[in-house]
Amino acid sequence: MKAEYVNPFLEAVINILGEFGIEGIKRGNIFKKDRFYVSMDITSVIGLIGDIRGNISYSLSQETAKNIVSAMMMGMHIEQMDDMARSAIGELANMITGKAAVLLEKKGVDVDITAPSVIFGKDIYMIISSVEAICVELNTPFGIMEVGIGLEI
Amino acid sequence: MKVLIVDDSPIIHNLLGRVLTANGHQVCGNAKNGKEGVTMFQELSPDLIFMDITMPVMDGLEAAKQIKGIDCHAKIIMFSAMGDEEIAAQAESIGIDVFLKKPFDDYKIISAIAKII
Amino acid sequence: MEVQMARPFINSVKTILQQMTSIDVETEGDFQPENNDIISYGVTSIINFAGKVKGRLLLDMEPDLAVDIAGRLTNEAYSSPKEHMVLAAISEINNIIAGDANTFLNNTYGLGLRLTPPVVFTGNKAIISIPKIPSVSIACRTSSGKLKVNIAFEGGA
Repeated sequence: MKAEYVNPFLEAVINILGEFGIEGIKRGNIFKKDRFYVSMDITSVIGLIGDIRGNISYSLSQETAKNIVSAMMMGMHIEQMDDMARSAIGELANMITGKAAVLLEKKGVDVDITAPSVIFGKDIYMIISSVEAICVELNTPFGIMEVGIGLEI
Repeated sequence: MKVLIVDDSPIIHNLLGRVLTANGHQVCGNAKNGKEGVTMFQELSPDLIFMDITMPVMDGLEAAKQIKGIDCHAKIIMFSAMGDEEIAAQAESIGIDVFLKKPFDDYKIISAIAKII
Repeated sequence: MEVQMARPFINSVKTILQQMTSIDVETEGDFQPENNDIISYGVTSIINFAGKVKGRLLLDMEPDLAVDIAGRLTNEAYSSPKEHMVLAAISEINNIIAGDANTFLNNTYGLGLRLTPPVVFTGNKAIISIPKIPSVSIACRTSSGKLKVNIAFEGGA
């Protein structure tokens, strides 16, 4: 998978988290997997249809999620991942993927994004596309966000 | 007949392969996207190609166009999980003789082969 | 959400599973609004589609059913839903079911729906939520285990 299609998603994460005052995000490990194992508590998945078909997954621990949602809610203390917090995590995935879609559009690639599905659970074995997904670890001040990019291109 | 299967799902390779073998045909190759399909077509010269439409890297319609460009007599049976009028029309517009909508059972596969020979 | 839009999906689930695996799917009751998060039976596959409306098909099933479906499709025996071919089988069957239902909706209502690739996963007591989008579920059973079919639509369906 070409880097030019992967980078918009990583840039979008940095950009959107930046809007909530979360800075200093760094790329960590990158690996390719067709079936990947998720050890984090929460994974949001969004689909893409149009010039590119695919699915993008965003995985975080519950602690990281609570801290990010807190930043999204102007510093409100998040005790647990209730309905509102879950909705916020889904919305975060939506915003990131939407931003990536805008960046792709500037390269002449038009995609439509679908609604997020948010999965809670550990020890998950997941496949998001028929080609190997590129899994990127992003180190945020609140912990790691693993981004799975499964684009059928 | 020597058959090339082009689909991104290993399940389809398995399923279709078993039906073809049971009916006396030989699967000469399994490609997982259209680009591999075109390469394998050139390398293996199959008598018949079963090709999915929706695939990564290069879709079936593009691969079929390229294969027909190499050999206009190439026999291609196209299939898809989607079978609406628009998809069927797209297949027809590039000169595909037979289009099948998944799921296909043994009978549909064998009838399709009979139609195309 | 109009239950009418969901019916083609359960019809496709029954037809496709019967045709491809000879597994009979019996429904228990009718579609009900899904107000809560879905607690997975063990193996879940999600496929999204978009066109004039957007939507999602979620199939959730017990591990034994997933393993049985994969086994019947490939004529092999599998022991765990974590195996790659089991996940691939559920992914492909979801793709064919969603494709079948979307074909019907496209031909009947001209919705121009196209599919994303399927997502498939298996975990330990996974819970799935789709924030803010209304959905309906129908409970089903088969001889190999339980199945839940959940359909969501947005965009005024």
